[in-house]
Amino acid sequence: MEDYRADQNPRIPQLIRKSLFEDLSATEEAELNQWVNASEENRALYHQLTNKQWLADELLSMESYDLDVAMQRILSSSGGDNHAEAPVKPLFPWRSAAAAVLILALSGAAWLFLNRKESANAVPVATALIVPGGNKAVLTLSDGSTVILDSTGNGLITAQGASNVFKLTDGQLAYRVSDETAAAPVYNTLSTPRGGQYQLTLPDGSRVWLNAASSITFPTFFNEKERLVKITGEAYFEVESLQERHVPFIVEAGTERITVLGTHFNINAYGDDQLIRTSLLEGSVKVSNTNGSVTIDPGEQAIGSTGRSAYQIIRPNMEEVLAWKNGKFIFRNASATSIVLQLSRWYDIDIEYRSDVSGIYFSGGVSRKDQIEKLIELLELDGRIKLELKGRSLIVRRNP
Amino acid sequence: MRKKNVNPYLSPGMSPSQDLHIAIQLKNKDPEALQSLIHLYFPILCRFARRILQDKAAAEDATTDVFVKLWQKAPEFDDSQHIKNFLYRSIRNTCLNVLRSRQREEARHETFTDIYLHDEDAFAREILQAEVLAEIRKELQHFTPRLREIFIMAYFQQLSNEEIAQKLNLSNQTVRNQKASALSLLRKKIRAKFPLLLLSQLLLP
Repeated sequence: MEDYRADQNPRIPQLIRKSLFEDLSATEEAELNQWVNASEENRALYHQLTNKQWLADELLSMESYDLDVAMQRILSSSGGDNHAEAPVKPLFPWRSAAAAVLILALSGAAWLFLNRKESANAVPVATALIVPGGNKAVLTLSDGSTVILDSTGNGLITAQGASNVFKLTDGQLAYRVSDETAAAPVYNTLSTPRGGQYQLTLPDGSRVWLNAASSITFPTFFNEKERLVKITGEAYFEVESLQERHVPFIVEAGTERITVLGTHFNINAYGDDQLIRTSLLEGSVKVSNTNGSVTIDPGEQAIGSTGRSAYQIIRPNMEEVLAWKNGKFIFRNASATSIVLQLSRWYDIDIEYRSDVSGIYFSGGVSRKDQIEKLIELLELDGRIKLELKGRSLIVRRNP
Repeated sequence: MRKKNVNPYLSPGMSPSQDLHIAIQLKNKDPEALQSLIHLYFPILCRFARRILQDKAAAEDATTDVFVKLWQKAPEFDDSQHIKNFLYRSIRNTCLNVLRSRQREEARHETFTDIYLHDEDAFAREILQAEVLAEIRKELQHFTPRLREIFIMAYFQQLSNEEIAQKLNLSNQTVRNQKASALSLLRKKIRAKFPLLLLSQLLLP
């Protein structure tokens, strides 16, 4: 690119901005004055550019553009090479008949993958209100006030203690330390409703994925001794290891305490079966509760319960454990009750059991973007259970 | 504690390292870099093009073209000055092309001339205006759009809470809360210049 300076006076706009927002130093003032007095034209320009009414009119008129739409247009016109749009890739490569056979063979249980496009479009009116979950969360600030994160525009939302809080696109919230000298941290809570999920970047750069009906409470600034957060529900963590300084990262979930330095792990603390499951993908974590502690290796899951004396360690299928984070439901020999519990959290529906469905297991998977009707169709397919949507309730029956 | 650079937006009063950061992000085709540039410069360039073309839709098309080119050439930019020069040069050339083709069309009917086709100084003035507005937007770019509107109305237009609430169809209380957020979001140095305006109104019942 040739060396063409479109902007002839890069300093002048900066000086004018500074004069509006803060005070100029003596040298800066001299520099600006010299430019202003250089010509009659400059003087006229300067008066226009510092006229607050003119500035307000111009600045407000620029607020009328939908910048997200602009971004989409620009990306789609740029074509091919952008890995930028990764999130919109189709979720289910195995949605074919062949894949269905494979899954069937794999599981021995009956769960077929239907590919009937028309059924996805024609959602019955009576149940149209039930939609898959999305990026929804509520942020509770230290003073108890709340920010609803699905309707807020993107950008800096507020300052909390020593951190600035940014809402990024696609259901992400990020804390960034702005003032490292600040003394006491304050606590914020991010919580998702049923049918919500959210991503959070903590002030140390660690990332957290929050599943539906979950919450995380964290300081807006971590101290040098430990990084302590509390969760309910389910969360996946990618903890930043802080080189040189070994500041442990501690997650409290009910009576459970998970201590790590820098790793990737998932905690399921919904307590559906009174159990808390910690699954480790990378690194090492120590899990402890009032009954003792255990250290697990990658690929392992520690199952803890308050009533049980020792931890149980299993090697789960990690794809299944992390399915929620990757936008899928994956079940391998999952009980009907655990499946409908997950559906109730994601589709924001209540469950009503009309008969006992224990002992019924399913295997298979679908996208979390699918309509609930599709899941119902799949679960009913082999005739073992009957599911009926009534308003916001799912009525569950065992077929005789 | 180590500070992690997770904020993709350009910071107000960018330091040289942050300045470099956006160019590096862009070089790596990081969509967040494109996004922050769009947030800062899309409205600026639209306004610029609209003043020259006198046509809102044509101005948006021209600006979109410029950003498409920016994204395609992303790996070529070394710093934010380089990016800025590219944006202004491209929007100017795109607008000139539109004017020239218009002139060819119109020439059959009447003599159509445009000041911008002959006057480089006119462009220099437009760029200076645009850059002053860009600098101010940069200062306020971390604000949500609503917060920015309220700030502009309160500070530049000196409107009261009632007037702002009425214009934006909000409650007085919301305006008051938003002004408090706006104040807390400004850099400390700047905050010192604003509390008079913001706080005095905040403290009123």
